[in-house]
Amino acid sequence: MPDGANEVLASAGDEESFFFSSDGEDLVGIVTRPLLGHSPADASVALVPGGWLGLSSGRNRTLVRLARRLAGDGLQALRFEYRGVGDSTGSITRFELARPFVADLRAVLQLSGLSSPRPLFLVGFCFGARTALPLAGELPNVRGLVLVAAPVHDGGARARWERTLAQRATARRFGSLFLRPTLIRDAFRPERRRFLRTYIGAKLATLRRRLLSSRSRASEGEVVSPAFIEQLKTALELDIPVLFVFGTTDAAYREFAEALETPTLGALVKNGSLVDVIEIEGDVHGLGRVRVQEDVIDVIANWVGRRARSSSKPVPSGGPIARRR
Amino acid sequence: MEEAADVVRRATRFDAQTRVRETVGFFDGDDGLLYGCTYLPADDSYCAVVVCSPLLAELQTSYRREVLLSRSLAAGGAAVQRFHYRGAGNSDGSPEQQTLDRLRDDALAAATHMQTIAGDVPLAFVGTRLGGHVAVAAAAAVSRTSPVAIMSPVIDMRAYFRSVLRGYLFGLVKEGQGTARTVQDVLDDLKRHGIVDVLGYPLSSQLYDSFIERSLEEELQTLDGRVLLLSVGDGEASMRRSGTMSGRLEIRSVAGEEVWWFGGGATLRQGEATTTEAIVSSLGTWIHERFVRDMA
Repeated sequence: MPDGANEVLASAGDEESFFFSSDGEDLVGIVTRPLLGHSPADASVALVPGGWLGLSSGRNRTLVRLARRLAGDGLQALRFEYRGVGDSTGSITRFELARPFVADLRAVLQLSGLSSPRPLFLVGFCFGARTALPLAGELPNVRGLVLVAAPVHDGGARARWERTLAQRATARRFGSLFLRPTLIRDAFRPERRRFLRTYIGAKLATLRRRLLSSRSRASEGEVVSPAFIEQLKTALELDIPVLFVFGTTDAAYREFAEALETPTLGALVKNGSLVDVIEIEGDVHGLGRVRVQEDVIDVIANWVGRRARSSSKPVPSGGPIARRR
Repeated sequence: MEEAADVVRRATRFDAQTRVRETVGFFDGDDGLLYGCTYLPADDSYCAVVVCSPLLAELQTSYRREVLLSRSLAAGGAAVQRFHYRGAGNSDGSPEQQTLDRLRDDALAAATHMQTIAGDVPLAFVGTRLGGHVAVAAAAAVSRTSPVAIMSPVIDMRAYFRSVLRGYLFGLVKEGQGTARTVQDVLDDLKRHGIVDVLGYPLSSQLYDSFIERSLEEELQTLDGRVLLLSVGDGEASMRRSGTMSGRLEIRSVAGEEVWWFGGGATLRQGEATTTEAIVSSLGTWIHERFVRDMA
């Protein structure tokens, strides 16, 4: 459906729930069938939940609403619950970013027929973004990747990175940031100010930590998960478009902004025409407002819909950072 | 655990250890489809339990606990039906449609659905938080003698909604606005706009109005069956102070802490597992006693 058009939503009557097996556990999935007469590209979308609030329905059923919106736009949608979550079997007490449950996603895609030649979009939320990313380079039918509030670090590595990055940032380097022409120009653009605040705030935090810590050096691997970079690089080499979605108050967004300073991730994101970054006002990670939930649904449905309809022709990138308020 | 390795997509799973059969899917409500999970024991069930979930964020925070409770009850011989209310989870509808009467109707639809599967066995109802009121209303509509067990019951409805609305204020503070506002201001907003956004969950004035005057003590007067109020942590004292005691009412408590509104719930984290085990054990024993010991 074109952006801004009236929404046509699927309902529970268009859905089928099922169990599937992964590593000896029985996991729950739900497929939402596309509404008849609305099929733009015979594509499917897998919604990969976060870990902490990982029900397949999402907070205030955001994933249900997204799945039914996508189905209304003619896309088959899938959602599921990881092992130990919701109606699935198994037990899990913590989610480690360095060990996402890729096997669960792989299993549900295979058993749902979504890993077939049918074009597939992967939409991952937080931990789910880290779960979806490795499969972009593994499955030949992935046509797009949406990473919502994606953590770029591996948890434990981040603590080390914060300390060491703070230690290596010199006052001269920090001061030179304010002399960059683009930075000064952007300060006069209202839509750029928020990003600059985030950016400069991160730098100030870095400087503050530097003053409190002893000297040492950090490697890029401590700033961003090497696996994250490698998997993103693979996806982009395969010409898979990637959309990053962050909330302005997300910790993951601050970390992402900081990580863009590293050479590899910075080059991948800033120079690649396949990467879009969309910033939504508020807390996207926790989906802590109904308005934010609706914005997230809109952004994802519109981006995936455009890509699905235009699979035969290139879709222009929205630019380095696009904003939605 | 596996029913058959070559079965790909199936709505039913069979647990070889407990011999419980679980079926996920949709069934008819009176205004659209409701999502639910039915748990059937291997042999004929001695009763059928309908689990009435809490609302708003607590639906999520108690989710895994209710799944594990259902599996345990079914392993002990009870048929169990969990479900999502209209406007919640995977069911049809919108949150604005929810009122106590409509939630009761959803519980009754779940009971009807389960009885078509499990047969005509006596019913019991389990509710959590506001779901306790739904359980009582449903039990009163079906059979006043149906046992009802309520986990972490809402004894003081006004205090409950005050805490919910404080969550709304907390959200404003988190966003850097509205620090001077009071719960009364939010109530005024609710009346004026018909809905407020409590940390990502819409609270409608219809839902609020349908619950606010319903005291659990008065609701329990509509029942003739046995009732268990099960508190977590130090909630037992307040239940006893509320004066809801009668010969049919039991009050029990288990050690531990409730999952906070902002907590997880989709899965169990360390510490919650012990509390959940205690709840499952206490509730399972009580329901078994009602149908097996009392009727013997």
